[in-house]
Amino acid sequence: MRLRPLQLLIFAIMAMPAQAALAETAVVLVTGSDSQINEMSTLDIRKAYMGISVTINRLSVRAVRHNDDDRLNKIFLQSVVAMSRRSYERRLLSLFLKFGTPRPVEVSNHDELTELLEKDPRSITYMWKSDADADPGVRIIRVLWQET
Amino acid sequence: MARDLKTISSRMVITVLLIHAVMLPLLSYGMLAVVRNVQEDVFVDSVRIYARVFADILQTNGELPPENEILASLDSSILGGRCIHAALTLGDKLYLSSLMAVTDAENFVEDYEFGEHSDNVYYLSTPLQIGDEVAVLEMGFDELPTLQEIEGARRTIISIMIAYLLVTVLLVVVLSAVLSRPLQRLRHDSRKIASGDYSRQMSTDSDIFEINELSRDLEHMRSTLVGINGRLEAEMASRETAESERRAAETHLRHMHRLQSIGTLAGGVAHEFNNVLLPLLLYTDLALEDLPSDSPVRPHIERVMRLANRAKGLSEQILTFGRRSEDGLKDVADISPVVDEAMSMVRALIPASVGIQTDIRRPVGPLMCDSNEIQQLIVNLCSNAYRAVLKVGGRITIGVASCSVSSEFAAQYVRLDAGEYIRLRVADTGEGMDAATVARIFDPFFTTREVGDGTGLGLSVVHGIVEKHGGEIIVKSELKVGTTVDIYFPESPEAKVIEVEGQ
Repeated sequence: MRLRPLQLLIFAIMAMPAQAALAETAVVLVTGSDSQINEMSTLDIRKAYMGISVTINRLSVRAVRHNDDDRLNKIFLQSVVAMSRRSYERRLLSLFLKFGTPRPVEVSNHDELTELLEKDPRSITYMWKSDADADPGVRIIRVLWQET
Repeated sequence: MARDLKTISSRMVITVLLIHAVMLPLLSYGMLAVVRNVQEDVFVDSVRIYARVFADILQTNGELPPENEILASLDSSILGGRCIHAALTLGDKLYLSSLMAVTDAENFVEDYEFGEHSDNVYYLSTPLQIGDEVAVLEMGFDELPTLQEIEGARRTIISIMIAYLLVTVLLVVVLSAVLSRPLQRLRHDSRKIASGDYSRQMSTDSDIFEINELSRDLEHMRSTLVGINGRLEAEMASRETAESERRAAETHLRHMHRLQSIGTLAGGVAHEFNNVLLPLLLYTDLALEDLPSDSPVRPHIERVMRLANRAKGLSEQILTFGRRSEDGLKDVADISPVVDEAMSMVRALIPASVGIQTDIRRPVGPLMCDSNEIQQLIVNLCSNAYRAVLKVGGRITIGVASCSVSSEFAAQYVRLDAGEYIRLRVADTGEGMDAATVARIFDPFFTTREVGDGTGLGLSVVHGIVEKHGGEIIVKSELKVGTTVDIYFPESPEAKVIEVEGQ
């Protein structure tokens, strides 16, 4: 099917707002607003989410996951731990059985997550950048993923 | 067709096929799922960590290398593996590898699962923190080699399953043959036995315990049935024998009753006839005494006297048959001298051309008897035997012997009991008699001779004498073969005692 120039123009105009919105979509690593954690390398983030002890500014980092957003979890697996879901679960189980490494804390809703970050300055987690911007109780450490 | 489907072999093959028809697809699906998951996980893990490490290398010290190094790194990422798309975006700047197989950067849609979007390319983006800016590394990896490996594994699994199914069916066919062959043999043997071949043993050479046990049990059952069958057959034969003996005894008893009735009637007639004859003889004798010797009526009176005497003789014979003779058993003696004397009389009566053979097996047991009657008995029997051999030739045998009568033999005759007897046998090889004639030979006045050639009282007298002595007559005759008359007299224990005392 061949599209006429007018149709292409209408299609481009309709697609522009969506593309702009997508361009702003990002996943960021956050901590509590009062936390001393200012910077973390990708390797430390991976370690923390594998349950391995990571210390920053004398604070032992506590990685928190939340599982109420399927897309966010997929991005987390792909860009943060760089593993498939089954491999990540197997790795966590293997570390727990071999070394007693604790699994990352999991929460199931945003309010619970925010409360946890405010109470525990060692906690880090990931969330949509838009949610982080709207929540004064959290502070962005770095960008984990950004839609192109 | 339906019968073939009910055989052990068919049932086993069908059962195995049905089980495998359900289980093999499930097993194949499960194995394939495991293989696919493993392959996909390996692919996803490797590309994600590859992208992560590549991004970390580009991002060393929080700064990006010069443009030419960025492009060289992107090219090397494509040269080094399955990566077919490598690009880096920083603000408005876009770095693209010149080796990209997929050149249309607008088509970049990030994947989170293997095979997502069905474009055979796994796209993923990795952000790089460069100061306050965020660069995005875009990479695409070819999924086709992994898809081909999964397809290859699928084919291998299906091939193995088909081979497994074929081997299993083959084994089942062989096993069912091993199982069914001894059963078929047992069935064959069973049919043979059912058709009456009870001697066929039921045995198998199977190594299977249950079949061997079944064979052993069936063989035990067969042997038991054979035993029962044998006993039933023996019992049936015994009952048939007993029945035939009973029928023979009934026939004999009826015959005896008939003879007894005839004897009673004839005896009564003879007795009354005697009462008439005695005055006739007396007065005839007185008349002859009073008649002068030259009287013309004297011959007539003498003829009357002779005829009256003849009538008296007949009357006595009839009385003898009817046991109306008042003479008792006089002698206790060895019967052989009586037989000898009777034989001398017989030889005098019968022409020398007729061969007479005597077989007296001494010592013959003692017998309480009337010697005259025994002699008359022998003479009468020999007279009949002579008549039998007269037309066709032959010989006469007279035998006397002691013998033991068994209970089986005695059961066939009314007057016989098991014990010791003296058997008197008169046999001839003459013309013989048919069964109807034999049945009537003891009837008074029954004769096969010409009219006037006999009174028909000879064997009736014999029968009377034998009954008087408590004996039994057994007549066996066959036309053109001869006749044998056996008379069994019971031995007399009293006679033995007397003889012993006499010695």
